[in-house]
Amino acid sequence: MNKLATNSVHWSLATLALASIPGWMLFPVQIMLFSLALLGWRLLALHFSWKALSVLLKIVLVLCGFALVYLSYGHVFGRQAASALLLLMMSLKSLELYTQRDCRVLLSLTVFMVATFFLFRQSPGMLIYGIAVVLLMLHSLNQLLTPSTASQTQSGALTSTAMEVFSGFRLILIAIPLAAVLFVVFPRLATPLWGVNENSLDGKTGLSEDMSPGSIQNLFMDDSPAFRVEFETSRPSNSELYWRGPVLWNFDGRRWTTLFRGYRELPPKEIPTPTTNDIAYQIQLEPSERRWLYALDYPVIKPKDSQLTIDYQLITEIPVTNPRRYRVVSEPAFTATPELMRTLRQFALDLPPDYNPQSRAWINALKSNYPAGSERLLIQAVLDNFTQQEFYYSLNPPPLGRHSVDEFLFSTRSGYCEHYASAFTVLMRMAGIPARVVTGYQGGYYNATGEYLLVRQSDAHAWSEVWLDSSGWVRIDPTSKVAPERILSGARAAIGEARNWHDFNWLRQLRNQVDLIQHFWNRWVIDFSASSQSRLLQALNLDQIEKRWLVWILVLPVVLLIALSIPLLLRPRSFTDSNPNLNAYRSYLASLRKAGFKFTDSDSSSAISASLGSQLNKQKPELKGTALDAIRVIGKAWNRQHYSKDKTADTEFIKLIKEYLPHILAVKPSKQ
Amino acid sequence: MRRIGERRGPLKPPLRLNYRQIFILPSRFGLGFSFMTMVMTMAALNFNNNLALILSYLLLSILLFTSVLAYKNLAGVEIKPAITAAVFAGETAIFSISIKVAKNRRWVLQCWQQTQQSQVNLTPGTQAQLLIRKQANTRGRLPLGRWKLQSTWPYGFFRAWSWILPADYCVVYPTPAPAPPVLPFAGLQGQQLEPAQSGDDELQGLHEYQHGEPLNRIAWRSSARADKLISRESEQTLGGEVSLNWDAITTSSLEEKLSILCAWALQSESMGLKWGLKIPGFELKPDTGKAHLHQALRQLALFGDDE
Repeated sequence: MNKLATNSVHWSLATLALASIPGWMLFPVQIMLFSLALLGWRLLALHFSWKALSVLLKIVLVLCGFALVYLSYGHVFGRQAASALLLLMMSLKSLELYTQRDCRVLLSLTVFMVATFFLFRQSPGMLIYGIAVVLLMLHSLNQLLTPSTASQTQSGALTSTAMEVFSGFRLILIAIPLAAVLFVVFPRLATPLWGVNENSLDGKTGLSEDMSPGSIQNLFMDDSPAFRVEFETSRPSNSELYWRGPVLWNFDGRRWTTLFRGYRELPPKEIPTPTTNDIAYQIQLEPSERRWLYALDYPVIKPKDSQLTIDYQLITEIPVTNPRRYRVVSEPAFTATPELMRTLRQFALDLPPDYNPQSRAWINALKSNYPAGSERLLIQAVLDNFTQQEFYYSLNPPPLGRHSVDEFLFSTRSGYCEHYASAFTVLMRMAGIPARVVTGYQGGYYNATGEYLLVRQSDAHAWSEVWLDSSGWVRIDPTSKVAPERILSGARAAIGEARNWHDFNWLRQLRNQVDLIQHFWNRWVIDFSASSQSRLLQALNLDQIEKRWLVWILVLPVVLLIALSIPLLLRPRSFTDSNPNLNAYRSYLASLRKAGFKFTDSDSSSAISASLGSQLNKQKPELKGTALDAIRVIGKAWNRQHYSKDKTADTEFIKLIKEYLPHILAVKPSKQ
Repeated sequence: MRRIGERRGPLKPPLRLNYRQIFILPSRFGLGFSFMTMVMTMAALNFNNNLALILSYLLLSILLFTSVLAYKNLAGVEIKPAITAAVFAGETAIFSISIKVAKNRRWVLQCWQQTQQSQVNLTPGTQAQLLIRKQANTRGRLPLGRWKLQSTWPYGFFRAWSWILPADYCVVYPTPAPAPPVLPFAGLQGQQLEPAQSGDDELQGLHEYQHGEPLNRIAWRSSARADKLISRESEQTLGGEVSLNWDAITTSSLEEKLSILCAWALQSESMGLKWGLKIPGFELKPDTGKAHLHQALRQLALFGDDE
């Protein structure tokens, strides 16, 4: 095996570093530090020619890598954990780059690693980044083929690097159309060959299955998109946009949780039927790694692989790990079950004993004013309490102790949707009215240019539903009483102050507009799937054709494109202007030839000079001397330029030719 | 392979490589890389991750198109006939082949002959010399033999190569006999010459070896004794004439005869004699000089060669 040039190792390490950046940002900080330490050691070892690590130490480092991932994630098989493990193993591989083969293995795997990062982020920027990694990898592969030439000057090396990077870039540009055609026509898998282990999902963001103090608060700081909605029918006003997520029934005094799985997965007793007032829309959901889909109340038409729970939440069979597009038709006026199951009623009234005695006393006193059957009035009275007393909407409320509802209602009186929904639901249960908390998103930003609604994580919301015998489950949003602007224009408008130092109005406006790019990217690229492929064929009326012809229709564009690309690849590259002197000298010779001089290009410049001198017209002796001098000067300058270290500046040589060429041309060659 | 190659076009330099002579196959690394890309494509299809899928297809397309670039790297390469100097049997022949590319680009080429490998890195506008060394064991013609010009540029995914079947050969002179009989001075009766080898190594007629003097003038025995290189005085002063005749040698072995004639020729030349050569089927008039010597040695080398 030939020994590796230092240069090649540098390029390989640079490629690895570039390919690792998203990983460093995505994974816990200890993984980044370990990886950086390994790369740093390799660089220093290269620089100071340190001895290679012993095999034992390497084994220990590998075990450390596994341990680090295990400690960070609790397992090593999840998608993120596996990707982090790959990153660490690649960093370890960088410790033993001794042969060309080592470097090639490392470089090939860098692109693989980048592909694993695409599992977590699929923005257009990531694709550009991926192409940059490919470019650098190709350049590093070429470095492995080129023996390091010590004689190359610094500027020469730079030009050739630029030229090679350019030719790599050109190859990528030529390859892109073929890749695009393959992307569209290459058959997709309608169902995955192997599934994703649900327990191994680790990149969870967004709403969770339970609500404890502060859980929604974190989401307020997160401006990343949760989903985007395109309405097919007219868009309801913002105050009607309650995107239903997990419905919470069980309260232990602090934490709200969902119904037990057995109950949750029961189908609802009544299913809404379509009416003329239905709202139809398509949702483009960002990967949440959860099993639920968001929808407006109450879904009439739902995606095929989903089902309605007993509390009218949409649940899918597998977690949403990829951006996913689905269509829902909702019927807002639907009234759920006229009768509440006994067990469910019990769940909806259950409260932990010995909590919040003050609230219990207060609601009992209030309840005595309202006889049975006037629950609506009681509810109104409780809501009025929120407006009459001084309640504040704040994202940074004081922490609450054991009797959280008591403290909130009677002392702190400051909080956000979570506090209001929780307190209200507890009060309702104390008053004997079945109630539950619903979490989800509320409102959204309407992008008029793209005609879609953008719902961000910061639009997360919690509200209540109470059971009234006459009208079933009724949505009550206590937050809207305290801070109506939250419902009309979002949480940011309701608090009035910046959430953090980089929370500017103009920045948010800009981000809302820029989201348009992501929206179209998701729509046309990320969403493309087996079904879009068959839809495309249907649109082209190709779905009726026999199978064997279909194959040709898929193969033909690929073959055609390859045939079209090959001439582009074979086209000789024009002389670059990397050497202006050479170009100037060539054009000088060309103009002499045009004037009628005869000489061989491949001759040395002194031979050419001599030959030119002999061809000069003898009829003009007074001009001939000057012309001879001019020929000699240019010939010498070129020799100095081309062969000696002591070079004239480029511009001077070019000037020289410009100045002397007319003198030579003044004397046309004599006819022989 | 030879037959396929010959059918496809001329392989004798000077030649300019084109599609007829160039073969392309994926290299081992290229196969490995495409395997990795396919695994990546399968995983991307499985997870329905479109970004990873685009990246995989891009890599596949790049791989495919690199084959064209690998071809382009060899196409248009001009190979000149090899230049070589004659050697004596037992020495190493060096074939110098000049390779030229017409276009302004960077080339990394490898040349293979049997197990021998050398690499040329052509930078824009240059012409490179490729040296192939071959051990010359027996007198006669030493053909350069088939050799391969190969390039894995760019990226090493593909291997493009051409077989070159040159007509070039190196003339290998017979090994000079280490102890030839005394020169047959047919025309110089009475003038008995004592060739240095046969007599004692007296110090007269010897001087310290100087750089640039022919190696065959070194008096090895004296040198060993003096612990420095000693060479014989040029014996140009003798100025006689000698005919090196095949029939004058009594040995029956053909190769030995040629060996002795070779040694005689070298001796006569170094002594500055006018000498002629007479072997069956060829006669060289007495003369002196480098060209004369090489003409004679060439005849000895190719004796019995029907080509």
